[in-house]
Amino acid sequence: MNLVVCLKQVFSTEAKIRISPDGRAVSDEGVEWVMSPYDEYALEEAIRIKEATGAGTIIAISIGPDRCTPMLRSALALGADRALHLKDPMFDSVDALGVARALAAAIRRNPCDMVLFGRMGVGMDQGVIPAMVAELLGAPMAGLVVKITVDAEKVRCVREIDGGSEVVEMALPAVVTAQKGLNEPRIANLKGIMAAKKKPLDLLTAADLGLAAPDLQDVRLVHESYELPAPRTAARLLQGDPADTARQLVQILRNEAKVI
Amino acid sequence: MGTPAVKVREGTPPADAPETEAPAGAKGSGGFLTSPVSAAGVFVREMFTPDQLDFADTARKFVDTEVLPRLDEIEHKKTVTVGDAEMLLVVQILKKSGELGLLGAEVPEEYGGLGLDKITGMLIAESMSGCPSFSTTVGAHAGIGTMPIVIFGNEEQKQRYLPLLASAEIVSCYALTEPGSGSDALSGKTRAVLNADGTHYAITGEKMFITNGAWADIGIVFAGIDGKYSAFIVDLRSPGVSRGAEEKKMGLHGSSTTSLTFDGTLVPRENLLGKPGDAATIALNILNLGRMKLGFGSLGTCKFAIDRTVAYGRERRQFGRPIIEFDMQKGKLGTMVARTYAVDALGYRVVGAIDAEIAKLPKGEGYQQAVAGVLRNFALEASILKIAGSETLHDVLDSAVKMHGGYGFVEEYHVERLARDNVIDMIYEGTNDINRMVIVDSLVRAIYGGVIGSREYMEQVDSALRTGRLEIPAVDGPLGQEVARVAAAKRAVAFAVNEMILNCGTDIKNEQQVMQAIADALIALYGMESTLARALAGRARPIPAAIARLIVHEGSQAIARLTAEVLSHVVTGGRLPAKLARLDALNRQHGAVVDTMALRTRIADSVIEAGKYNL
Repeated sequence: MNLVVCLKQVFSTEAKIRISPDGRAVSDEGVEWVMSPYDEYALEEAIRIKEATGAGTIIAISIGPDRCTPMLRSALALGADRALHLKDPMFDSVDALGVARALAAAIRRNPCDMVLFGRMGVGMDQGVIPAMVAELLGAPMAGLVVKITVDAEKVRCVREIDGGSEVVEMALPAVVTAQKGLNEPRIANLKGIMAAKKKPLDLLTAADLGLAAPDLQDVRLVHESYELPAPRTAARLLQGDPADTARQLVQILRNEAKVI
Repeated sequence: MGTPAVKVREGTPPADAPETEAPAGAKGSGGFLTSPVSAAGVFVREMFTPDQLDFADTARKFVDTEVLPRLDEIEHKKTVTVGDAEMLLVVQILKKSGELGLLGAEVPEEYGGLGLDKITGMLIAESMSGCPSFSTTVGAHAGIGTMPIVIFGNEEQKQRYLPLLASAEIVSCYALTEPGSGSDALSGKTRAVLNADGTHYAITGEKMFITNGAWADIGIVFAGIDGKYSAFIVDLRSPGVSRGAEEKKMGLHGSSTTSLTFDGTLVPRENLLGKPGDAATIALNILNLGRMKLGFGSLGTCKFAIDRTVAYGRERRQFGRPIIEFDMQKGKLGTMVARTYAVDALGYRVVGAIDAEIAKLPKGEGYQQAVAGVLRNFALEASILKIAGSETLHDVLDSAVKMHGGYGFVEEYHVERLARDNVIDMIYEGTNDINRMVIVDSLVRAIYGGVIGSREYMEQVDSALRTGRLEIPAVDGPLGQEVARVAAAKRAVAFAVNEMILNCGTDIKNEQQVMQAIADALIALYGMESTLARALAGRARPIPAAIARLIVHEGSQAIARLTAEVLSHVVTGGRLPAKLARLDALNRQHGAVVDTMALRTRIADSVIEAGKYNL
């Protein structure tokens, strides 16, 4: 079974979030980049499927600048067979649909039985790209999957839904997004890390993918501005007898917080 | 790999080394004492390759997911059932780490390992820290229990044992110490006698304080053959081997420490490691490696303890504020961070220099012996690393416990256990006292042997001090003042070493307090120079530069005191006042007004903001 796993590099969960001076982006200065945690489940599942079926290849794909290379090497160290790095200055200004078009173009050139994503890239939390890619490929999709069973022609997925679970069956090729609980990702073996150096990691530009400027300049979603939540202020302890503190509280709620 | 941004020239003796060569200090034997201060050729952690970072990541993730959540169970020696065999949890975790390849980093590829360099091996040791009971179990197995076979084993021994050790299918230990033979390690009474057929040695004797004693399958056991102290690979499942009860220890409760008694245990002749009489070579080389690993383990635990302390101090509020924001706490944190950075700098400097020397060796016959030769040349630096690592960790944990307040005294917050576990770091792999003597002993041998070309240097320093023309020119560029101060400190230490040699001669061995002071001065000097080199290699970014200023200042002060103490003791008669005055002049000339409090605050602030040690 041939599998594609799409990986996104995101801020480490420990990163301190800062807004860029123009307020239109989140600053990535000094930030540590990691594989999105949900994508780790997707990759792990692909490796397990390959181990269970004993055949096929796993291709890891990411779109982004040079800093994506270590993440793709990690995917190779964990068990992916090939990595595709989609890198082009034209990708810098695309929206989610542009990313989906690039991914779909890369997947079409590497036909597979299943495409796996994390359920969303941690940080931006949009979670729209898997559905767009499925649409562009004309493939069925199941999101928020916590269990996958495959056979030659179809895949059965258990999906997490509100208050329970749902079982869906899809014809292959299909798109699946991984939810926490799907598996427990492994740690890279040292021999795997050494072997990763010898596995192919190919760079692909927009031209390599047959994408022209109009496909990528069709930006429909613009990030207007970002705001950090208001900092929590220290608690204030009101002193005095109950009647007095109640009076003070009303004053504060009315005059300072302006909520009553 | 970045070329260091700053080429430092001192302009005073000795002449700068040729530009293409790493400085003489990069060859070990204390050569740093007589080499110019330079960032050139100094390996720093900022030079790690992506692969090395990935290996470290695997090691850290393994500890985070498999070890730290189970520390209490490890501490109480919990057993688990694997298949139908019962084993200790810590042994099961050891075997899991073997599956990931974490135990075979330094085992050659042809014997089931990864054949990685020493830098990587040490980085893995650093990353598998914060869990000393587990780390010492790993160290006894993969370090001192495996490396004797890697370095001194013959082809048959390597093929037979190394693949099983790299994967931890069998567990090893190292049995040198005896009830009556601790620091005097080669005086053991255990005997090995060849049987009449010449097929087996019968080993008889008792070994003491053996890490992994309760569960090791094999051991590197030292015993005398007709008075020649030798090493054997012994199957501990054979008849005639008995294991003592677990020692009741101050710390490391999750590791096993027992005695091993051999009562005519038969060991096949082919299990002799090296030749009869090779014990000294094997034991001392392996100790060098073990000492460095211990230093790096301590380094990792320093960072772990700092992270815990920062996390606690940000969370814990008193007087309406997180306690880490209080100035006195910042002062302590700044010191913890700066000293940890210094151990990092000196540790990777040593191991980077070792790898550079090993890389020059031709592969093939005799390669491992040549590697052993390189390790031997760095005995002095390995001892510095062991002492600096374990004692820095001691001080870091002392502060960490106190900065946790009452919670520092209870198990739940890690630092209580770490503080107990750290004590042994200052005792095993050669006590720190013994290591101080190794430092001075190695230096004196290197000087007498002409290894580090020091005589001319010493004479130049002496004559320059006498005539008062020891001008260390101001160095332009960032940290120029610190470069001059390290250069001055080198001269002060060299002056004291020279006086020690001139006045004590062969009587040095009886002047252990002098040896101690000289060793401490050398440790301070190596630490401040390495810190400075690392900060310079990183283009003197603000926090590393602040750390370098602090460490150089504190080191200079310590060296001024230690060298004056040495002179006051060894220089006799009326010559003392003049000599002390020369030393004073040197120290005064390169003294500086440094606002250490502001530096500590600045260093602490950056770590508090990051929420963890991030250098």
